[in-house]
Parts: sequence; structure tokens; C-alpha cells
Amino acid sequence: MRNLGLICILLVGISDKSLSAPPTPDMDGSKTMPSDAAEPFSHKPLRSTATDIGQRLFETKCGICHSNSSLYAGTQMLARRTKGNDKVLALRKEGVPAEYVKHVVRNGLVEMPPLSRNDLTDQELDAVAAYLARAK
Amino acid sequence: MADQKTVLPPGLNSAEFKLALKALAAAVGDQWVKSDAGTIAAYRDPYATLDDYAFLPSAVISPASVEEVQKVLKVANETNVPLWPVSTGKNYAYGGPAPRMKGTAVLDLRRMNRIIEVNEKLGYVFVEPGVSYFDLYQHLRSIGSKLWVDCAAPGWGSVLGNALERGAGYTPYGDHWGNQCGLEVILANGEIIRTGMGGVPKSKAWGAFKYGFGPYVDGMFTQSNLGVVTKMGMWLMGEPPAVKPMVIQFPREDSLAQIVDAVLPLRKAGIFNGGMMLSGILWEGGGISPRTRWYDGKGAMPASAISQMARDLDMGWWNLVTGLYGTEALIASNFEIIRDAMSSVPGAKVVTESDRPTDPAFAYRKKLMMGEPNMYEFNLINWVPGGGHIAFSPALPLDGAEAEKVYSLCSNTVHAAGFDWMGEFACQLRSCLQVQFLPFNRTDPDERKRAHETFHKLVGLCGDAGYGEYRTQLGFMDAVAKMYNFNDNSFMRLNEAIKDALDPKGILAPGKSGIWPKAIRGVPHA
Repeated sequence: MRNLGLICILLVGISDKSLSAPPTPDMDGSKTMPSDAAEPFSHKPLRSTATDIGQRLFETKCGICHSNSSLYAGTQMLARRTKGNDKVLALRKEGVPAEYVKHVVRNGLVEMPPLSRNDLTDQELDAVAAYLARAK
Repeated sequence: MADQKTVLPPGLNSAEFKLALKALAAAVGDQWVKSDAGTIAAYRDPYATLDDYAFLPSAVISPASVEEVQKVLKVANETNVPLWPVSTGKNYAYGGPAPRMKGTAVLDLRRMNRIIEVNEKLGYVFVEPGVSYFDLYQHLRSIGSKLWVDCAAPGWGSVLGNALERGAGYTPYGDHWGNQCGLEVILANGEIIRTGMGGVPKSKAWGAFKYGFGPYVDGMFTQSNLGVVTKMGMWLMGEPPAVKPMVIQFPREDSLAQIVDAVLPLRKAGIFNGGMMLSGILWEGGGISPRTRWYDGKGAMPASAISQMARDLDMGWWNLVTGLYGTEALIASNFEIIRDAMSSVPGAKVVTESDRPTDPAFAYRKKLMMGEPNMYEFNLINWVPGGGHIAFSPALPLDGAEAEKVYSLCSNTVHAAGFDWMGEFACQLRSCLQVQFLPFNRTDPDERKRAHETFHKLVGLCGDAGYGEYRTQLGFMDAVAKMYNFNDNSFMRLNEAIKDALDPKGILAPGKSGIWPKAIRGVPHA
């Protein structure tokens, strides 16, 4: 597999240790709802007005799990593995490597199920990966 | 990650398979027949107790029309390539898009995604398999329709696919199969049939009257392998004057029987008139944060930690989630009756929207009660690391003693194996389904094996006690089918006789619901 090296490096970062890491600060010890629960649980992702095609696809197709709140499954999953705002893919300062995005989308990654070419075409995936790869 | 080994349909060598793929490509176009590892990987079940390889397909074929499905079936019959039809492939916890038998080619119907008709006046739609709850919801809102979709909890599922699996929802139309009306089916020999009034070419009642004339065959195409359903009529509820979402919380685990017995008369009398989930605290609060927030030890979460979680989240050990539908006056009157009746259960607390303005669990349920799809419930995959989960779903009468018996049997079994009981009772009119997630760390081979064995134990124990599952994950279909063994398995003999008559070469979904084609009947599969 062409990108195996990159994938392995990135996988190491989320291996067993971090899978069972303590809850992230926004969950830890809170006796009330998580802090971002105050953000209404909305369907913004379904109504993207972004002009960039990659962003629009991300918000409508990926945003159902990766929007900016730990009440979305993908963001909650990444909260366990990452620090601060890294849990929100679209806010990662350095961007997310495009090849990594493409591999994870097609193969899934632990909790994340894969998306097929009928869910998201190769061309659409290229646009999403390019959007996520850009530094924010 | 999917195993990269080449997978072939059983009985075919790679030269024969190559020829078959060529013929399939001629039927639907080159780009819609794929057998490369990259494509196949997206059709595994990422949450199964067995490894990916156990249920990996050999190819994915994606037709775009009825005519193309017919052509694919013709080629499949000629080349012996078995097909596993999926609608959107999101049947997770029961297998996702993966086929029962390794090497079966997935017939992915996602591209057939037309909403063929919206009948605003009578309140129904006709959809193709690839239409998701999100798709239908957005379409209805965009045309200004006042019809509601009754959604399965994760909104990316197929409207048609979920109904064929006999899934459940939240509004008064929560019995998805119960609200189906009219099918178009392509049989294994390529013949197209339309059920109900669809048989009368000029009928205007295909989506309005289910039964037509003569044998009522629609049910034969649910959870089965007798045809490819390409269109389905689905009744939709018109927006009612008022809705009142509510949760009734009960603090004590041992109140289960009392709760169910208090619900039944109100259900029968139509006072409770929406979909209804009696949800355990791990399910109700499990989407808010992972388990480690409440308990970080090994084995099943102890009762003390579960009680603490309920207290911290201000939820019950049991949470009866439902909505009341009708006029303001009717709802107010029913609400009083319900409050009085349910107060017979110790500590019962009725909670409505104004009490829970920031509770995400209340918010997602409310959306579902009003026909708005979302993905919140998918958060439950984060409960334990490694995301594995399969659903154990036995059916039982809506009766307190029965619910208590099933809960004790299932919770004791999973606790003894070191797993949590995370579940809810989906309460219907006279029955309920104990829908129980078995969450496990799929990256831990020992835990995966233990989950597999525990699930088999659940199937056996519950089956022997009289509780058959209404739906199950791929690897347990044979075991569940064996529980329906009245009169020396006469039900399976009937299924097999029909299978042999309609699909003699056995090309459609081998092994679905434990029904195998004649040629490979009795051959062991993973």
C-alpha cells in the first residue's frame, strides 16, 4: 500500500494508550452537561452555504459526525485521542494530510466506518481532502 | 482495515470470476463494477465480533436503474456470482453493508436514489432504495411539504432498507414496515412484480391500500433473499396540530416490571400514541460522553457507578422517552392521565422540554419525534474504545414480568462476561424489543472473542426461554433462525421451499436470515 508509512505513523499516535486515555478536559469531572452542549444540536451541516466545494461536501457529508461539538460522534471520538481543538477536523491549524484523509475515509479507522465511492465519489473525496489539508 | 487477500465467490476460480466481472461491466458500465481492495474495504462490517475477512465481498456492483438490476441478475444466474443487495449499507450493529457469505458480491443500490412520488394529499411517498432519511427529510422540507419522515435513529440509513429490516422509529408511524404500502420487486429470474394495488396498471391506490387481491406477499421480501426491492411506498404522518416530547424518569433499576405494566393500559387505550423507548441510563446518557467519565475500571460498570451517572446527568436508571400527538387540548388531557398513572412507580418524574433546554439526549429524541433525522445516537460507538458493537434484539410481550425476565437474563449474562448492559426497550402496542448494544473493544482480540461467545450465549439462553430475536448481525443469523424451530423447523422448510422455487441457482443473498441456497445448504460458514 502506497501510503502505509504515513498511515502507520499517524496510527501510532492514536494507539492503545491514547484510546484509553483519560477524558478530555471538556468532559472530565463535569457534573453538568459538557460545555459545548450549550451549542444547539443543529442541522447546520445539512445546509452548508460554503462556496468551496470541498468545504461544502465536508459540511454536508462529513459534518453529520464531524461538526464543531462533542455531541457529534466523530468529534467526540477524536476528543478522546487529541488535544484541544484538534478534535474538530476543520479547525486543525496545520490541516490534515490529504492522503491520510483519503485512506481513512475509504478504509475507516477503529470506530469510524468507511465511506464507499457511492457515498462519496473519488472526485468528491479529493475536494474534501484538499479542503481539510489547507492550513487554517 | 480490510484484509487485502483476494476474495472470490465460493465455487469460482479467478478466471471464471474475471469473466463474470466483464459480463457485469457490460451490464452496468465499467466504472460501476469494482473488485479492487480499495473499494472492497468500504464494504466490511467495522463493528463485528469476527474479523473483517469473515464477511468481505468479492466485488461491488452499482446499478442505476431497474433495467440494469435485471441485467445484473441475468449475468449472476449465468455466472453463479451471488449478490448481496444493500440500499445505503448503513445497517450497522447488524452487519452494515457486508454480505453474510464471504465472496458474495455487494449489489449496492445507493445510486437508485429517486424520490419518485410525494403524495401530500394522502400522505405517502414512493422511494428507491438509495434514498436516506436525510435525503427524504431535505426533499420534503425543500418542497414545503407538511409530511413527516419517521426516522431510524442514525439518519443516514435507507428509508426502504430499514423498513425491509422491520426497523423502529419514534413517531406514531414508528413501525416502519407497518407503514409500508406497495413494493416493486425484481425476482431472481429478472421478472418485475408490483405488490398490492400496483398489480392493477391503472390503479391510483398503490400507495394507499396495501392488500390488493389474493395472497399478501409483501412480507416475503423483508429480511429475506427472494428478490431485489426497487421501489417502496411509505406512509408518512401529516404534521399534527401539537406535539409534546417527554421523558418519564425512574430512579430504581428494580422498577422495570412496574413501569412496563403501567405503560400497557395507556398504550392499549391510545393515551400514549407515539413511538416509545424505555431506555436504560447507559443508552440514554451514553452519547454525552465516553464511559471513562463514569468508570475506568475493568469489567462491567458497577451499579454504584451507574447510579452516580444517572444522578450526575439528572436522568433515571430507566427513562421512558415518548411524545404525545394531537391537539393542545387532547395532549393536555392525556398528559394528566399519564402523570397520574405513572406516578404509581416509585420516584417517577415527568420531564418536558422546558426542564431540559440543554440536554442533548432530550434534543435528539425530540427531533426524531418530529421527523427530523440526525446522527446523535451514533455517539454510542464511543462508549468504550475500539467501537465494536452488535445489537441483540429479542422480541417479548409488553408485560412487566416478561421484561424483567429478559433484562435479568441479558444483564446477568453480559455482566458475567465483563460487558455493560446498554439497551432500551422499544415499546410497541402489545410487544417490545429489547434492543441491546453489546459494546466491546474491537482492537482487542480477546475481548472480541469474548463478545462473540457472549452473544451466542444470549441467543441460546433467550431462545430457550422463548425470546427470539427480531433481527440480528450476520454471524448470528443461523443461530437465531434455529430458535424458530417449531414442529421440527417447519418454518425454515417453508422458507427453503420458497427460496428454491424463486431462486433455484441461489444467487440472492445466500444465508440471509439463515436461509441458504440448496447447493450449499448445511455447509458451515463463519
